[in-house]
Amino acid sequence: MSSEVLFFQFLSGLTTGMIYFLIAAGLTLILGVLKIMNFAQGGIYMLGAYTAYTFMKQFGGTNLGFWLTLIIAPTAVAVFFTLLEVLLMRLFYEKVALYMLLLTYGILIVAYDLARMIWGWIIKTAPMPPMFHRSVEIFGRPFPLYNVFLIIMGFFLFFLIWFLIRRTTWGKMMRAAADDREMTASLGLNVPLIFSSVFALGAWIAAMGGALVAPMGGMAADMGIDAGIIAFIVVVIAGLGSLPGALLAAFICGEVMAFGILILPELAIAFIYLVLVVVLILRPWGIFGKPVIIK
Amino acid sequence: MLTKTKFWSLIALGFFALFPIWAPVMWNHLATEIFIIALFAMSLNMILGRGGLPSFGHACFYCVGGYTVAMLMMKLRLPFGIAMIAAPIMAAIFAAIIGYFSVRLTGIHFAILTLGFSQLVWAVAHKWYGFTKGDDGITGIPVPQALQGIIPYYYFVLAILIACLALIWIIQNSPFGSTIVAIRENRERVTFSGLKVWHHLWLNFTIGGFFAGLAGSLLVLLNRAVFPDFGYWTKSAGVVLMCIFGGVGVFIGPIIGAAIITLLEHYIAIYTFYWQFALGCLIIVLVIFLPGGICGYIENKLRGEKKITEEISYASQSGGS
Amino acid sequence: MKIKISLAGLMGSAIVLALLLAIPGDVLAQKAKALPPIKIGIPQSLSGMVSDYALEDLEGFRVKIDEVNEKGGVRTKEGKRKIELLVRDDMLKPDVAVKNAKELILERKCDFLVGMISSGVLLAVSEWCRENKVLLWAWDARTHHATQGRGHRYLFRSAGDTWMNGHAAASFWKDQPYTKWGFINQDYAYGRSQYETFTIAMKKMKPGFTIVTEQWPKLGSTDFTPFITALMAAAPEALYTTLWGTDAMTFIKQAKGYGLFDKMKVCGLFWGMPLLRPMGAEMVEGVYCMTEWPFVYPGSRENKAFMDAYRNRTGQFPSDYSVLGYNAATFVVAGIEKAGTVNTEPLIDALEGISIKTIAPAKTITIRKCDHQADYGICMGKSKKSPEWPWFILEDVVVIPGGPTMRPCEEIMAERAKAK
Repeated sequence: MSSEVLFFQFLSGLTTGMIYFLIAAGLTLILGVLKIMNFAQGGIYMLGAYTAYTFMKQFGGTNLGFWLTLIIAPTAVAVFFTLLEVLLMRLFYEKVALYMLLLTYGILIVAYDLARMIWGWIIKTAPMPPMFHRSVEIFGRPFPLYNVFLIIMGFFLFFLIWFLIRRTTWGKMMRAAADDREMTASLGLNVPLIFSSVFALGAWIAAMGGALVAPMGGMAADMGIDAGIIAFIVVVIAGLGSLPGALLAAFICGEVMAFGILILPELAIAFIYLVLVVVLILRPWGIFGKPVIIK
Repeated sequence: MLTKTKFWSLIALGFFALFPIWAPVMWNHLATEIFIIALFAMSLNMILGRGGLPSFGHACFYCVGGYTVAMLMMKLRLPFGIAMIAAPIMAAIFAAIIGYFSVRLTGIHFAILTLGFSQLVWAVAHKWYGFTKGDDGITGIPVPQALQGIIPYYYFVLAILIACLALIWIIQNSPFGSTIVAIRENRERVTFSGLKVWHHLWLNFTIGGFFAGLAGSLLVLLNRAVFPDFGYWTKSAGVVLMCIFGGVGVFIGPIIGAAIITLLEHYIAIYTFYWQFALGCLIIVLVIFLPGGICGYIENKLRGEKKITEEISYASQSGGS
Repeated sequence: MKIKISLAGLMGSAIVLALLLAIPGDVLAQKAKALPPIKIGIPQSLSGMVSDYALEDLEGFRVKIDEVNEKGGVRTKEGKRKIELLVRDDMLKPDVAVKNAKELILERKCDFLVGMISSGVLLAVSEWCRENKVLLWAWDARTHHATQGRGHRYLFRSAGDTWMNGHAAASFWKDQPYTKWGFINQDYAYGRSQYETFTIAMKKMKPGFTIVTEQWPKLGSTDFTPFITALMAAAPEALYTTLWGTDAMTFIKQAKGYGLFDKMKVCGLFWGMPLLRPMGAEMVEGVYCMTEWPFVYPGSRENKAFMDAYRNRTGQFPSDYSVLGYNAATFVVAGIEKAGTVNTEPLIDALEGISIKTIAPAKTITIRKCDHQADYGICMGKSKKSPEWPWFILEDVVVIPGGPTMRPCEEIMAERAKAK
């Protein structure tokens, strides 16, 4: 197998990894700060894709339409879900984890049927904007320009969020609320507001992920259920709340998929679960997570 | 001495014993299925309700039980009796292994870990085509002569359910059971009293897996088939829902929850294709207004107490530590 | 610790009792008509990726049933009886499908069952029907095992099965100059069956046939890039794929960017209207598409009538799945009229060997007696942009008749005997 082929497979893995990261990034944020396992994350991703589809079609599949959609669609979906967070989820932060888990599961399946009710059952695909109807040449072989765009966007979003978390005051407040809810509240900060803003950001990333993936292929309402599990795996391997961890873990999963296919085609997916279980046994809090007290 | 409990239990027993005589055939099928799922839910509640550990991977043991019976009977052509005994034992072994790594954690970490392990088991069942026949599942499992036909099988399952309920009752009312509840309420204090917390939780988890495996094997014989999605995470979430819906603090809570949810799923799906929307809304309404579940709510009403919004002394940890 | 279950127990049992009594209890208060309608139970998988195909099967079936009902019903010995359909969604879960079958037959008293799109579900329901002597008519699920090794008296299928599909494809490709083949199929029963039958057939028919690479993405993959690059690295001359639904769309869109379609000939099974229509302008030209109904072909009067009737009913153009449903209905109605009754045993006898006229791809299809499988053919065409339609059409359409692609009866009977 020539080195060009391997490099191409590596690039494939990078593309896949970026998609995984976009799905998982929001979840790790929400898990890390709000401490909730948001089952609905996959649903947000899915609705982001469907909403983007509608907008891209409405704008006639043009380049301008594409960029406008990327601004509008994820924001719309994030607003919708943040409203749900404010109205429903806020009630459960102080309660046992179990109720929040069930609530987000309930929201997930409602989202699934909602998509079917609004958009119908027929599979769809968003139009690929004309500017991406080309490929770049790498080692003499074509590589889709859209994939390059996706990889760059992934990195861009990573740095954007990392900057928000590490370098802004808001980020500081967020980390404080993650570490110690009560203390932060007693310092006079509006913890529910902070939580909602974190949730909004997490939802926005997931919806953006959906929107970016929309022109890449077909979509059906159950894409959220699958995406949810992938997000979960990546986040668990990475460690709750670690954004760089999520990027690395997504990258690892993407490359495991890419090279697993070359080695043992039928078992590619199983490899990822293997990585998951090894991490779960050795470091159940994830590679970059904070160790949890073990009794 | 005929206590209230014994009295109502006898009434229920009588009702279900006579049920197949007058009920239409389809209801026998439904009832048998409900008994099996009720057992599954009860097995989870030992860990979830009594133990206070939110297990989101319980379907794994259900799945293992089912596959054990299926594979022993189809591949090795072992007799029914042996397969039925092996299934819960195999499930218990899996529970012991998974529990070993899991019960040292609590709250959301416990949920994630159990979910992860159960997905791995699912992935293997789904992918290892040579061993488990993958997503084709295993069909055409032979049922012994004596149990062919829904009526004999109904009574068989009912008998097993009653035996298991009795066993679970005894376990939960034993010193062991009291320790489990104590650990749930205040883990630290139990540690100070010298009892081995981890061992208790581990054993409890394993027992829960045992009964789940038994339930799985019973379902396989009802439908004559087993599929990997016996172990998919949505099934785990579903059985958690049943326990909460029925009420985790009440002995028969999970049974009621299993019955109602199963019936609802069956009948709502007939009237609309969007039954998941209905179920999702039900879940949302439930967690907001009825945290104690149906039985908890009814109990409170009967006592004239104000609705307890916090669960009946559920776990001591705060949301997802 | 006192256990406070007694009152709760009472309430709980009361609720369960109330539900059991109130909700079911045959609400179908049949007005005492002279002749009750024939009830057909339709267990179908309406959720997930198969949704639109499944719905099209159903709508095509309904078009025919509506035609029949408008004329007063189907002729039986007692007189004309209308047909009523009871549809149940099993969400691609075999155990739910079996439960639905039980409910339809035992509770709703349906006369027989028509449906099936998922092979896994078909195998499970077929077992149940065999044991309970219920007639099951499969209009779409394709696994050849269902009518071959696991076939039985109570199962009929009016769609071409995976064995036939693979042999049909091979009968076309054996005359083409490509021997180095790559494969990409979804990793589940259907994908595996199709891979198996095509390779078996090619090994028999094409000297020099070699499998250069095989890729097995899972159902519903959002990202095919690693598979695409692996395929291109292996550089086959031609690619056979049975990807369908969103997977087919995603694969094509992503493979375009890698120039895959310039590097190898691509043959897609069932890449007809259900794919071409949503793809629209994003489709690729020159792709070999196999489909049972290629939209602009045939140009017959019956085809046009069917298309109009379907559009009136659903507002959409039909697809090969609608035709499957329509043909299934035609068979079933013809069988009832020939037998004069819906009782299972005489109906089965009447259906064995029955022939009907169809729209496409052949003029008639027949149910073979030995395995109850229809000799449904398939077409092969090349995708091409169309000035009239917003989707691609197929040119150079070749019809591959079903009969020669079927497995010989003796082999099937031998396999069944071995399985016992």
